[in-house]
Amino acid sequence: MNDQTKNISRLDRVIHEPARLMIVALLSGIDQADFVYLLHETALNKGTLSSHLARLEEAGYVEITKTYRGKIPQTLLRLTPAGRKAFDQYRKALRGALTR
Amino acid sequence: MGLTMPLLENSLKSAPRNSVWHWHGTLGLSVALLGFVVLCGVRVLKKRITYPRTGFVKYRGLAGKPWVVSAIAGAIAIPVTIYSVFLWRHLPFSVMVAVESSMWGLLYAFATKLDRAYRWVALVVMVAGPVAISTLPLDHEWLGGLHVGFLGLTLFVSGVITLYLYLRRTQPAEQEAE
Repeated sequence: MNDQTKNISRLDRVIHEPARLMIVALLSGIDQADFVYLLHETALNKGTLSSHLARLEEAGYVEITKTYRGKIPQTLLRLTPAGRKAFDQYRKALRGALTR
Repeated sequence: MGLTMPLLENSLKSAPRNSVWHWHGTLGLSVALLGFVVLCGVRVLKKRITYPRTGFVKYRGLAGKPWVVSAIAGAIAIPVTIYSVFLWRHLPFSVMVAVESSMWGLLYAFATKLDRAYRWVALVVMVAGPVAISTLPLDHEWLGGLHVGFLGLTLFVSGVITLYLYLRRTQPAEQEAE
């Protein structure tokens, strides 16, 4: 197994899934966003987005806070320090895997 | 804010010498008050229109990049200060207005990235309009307020078009799912 192949096998599978990669990439550039923002930016449907967020929360990459904006329920999302670190490592690994 | 400048100029010209309009702090107070109104307006617009449609987002602070912000602020502030201090009294009025509206035009281009045709039109109007106004046979006090008012009007119209297109493109999200 050469270095390039090793790098591919080291990719974080939680982040590597395209929808979750979109979510993590979006959250990595901001401090906090709500569910509607991610829904709009990713163009995923509510169920799919919810399940991917649950998977990321389970991995400890995303922090989900339920709150209210006036009387409307609001779900706030942010990348945890572990999530940020995992995304940085993922980017490095992907770069290593794609560089010839 | 630019739209209120002609009103302030008009108040200054028509008010008696000892009225509050001739007090030096009036302009500053008016601008501060308008700034407050604009900030509150933006907050209400976000709460009522933006958040339900495209969601709430809080961007990360400028931590780690303060030198970039300082450099940009310096790069803008230095020529503006030089322009204000040295050129204000020496250049013909129309040249002064051309420089000022070009600077506003640059700021507008930077902020909007000129990604729509109407923004190009706004840019041209924003730069050429005040220059045309400055050639009108009116006294400088009036022209000063009028060209700033025209800039304000252009920005306002551009903002209204942007808001209209945004409202047409987006729909309020239904109740959040989780």
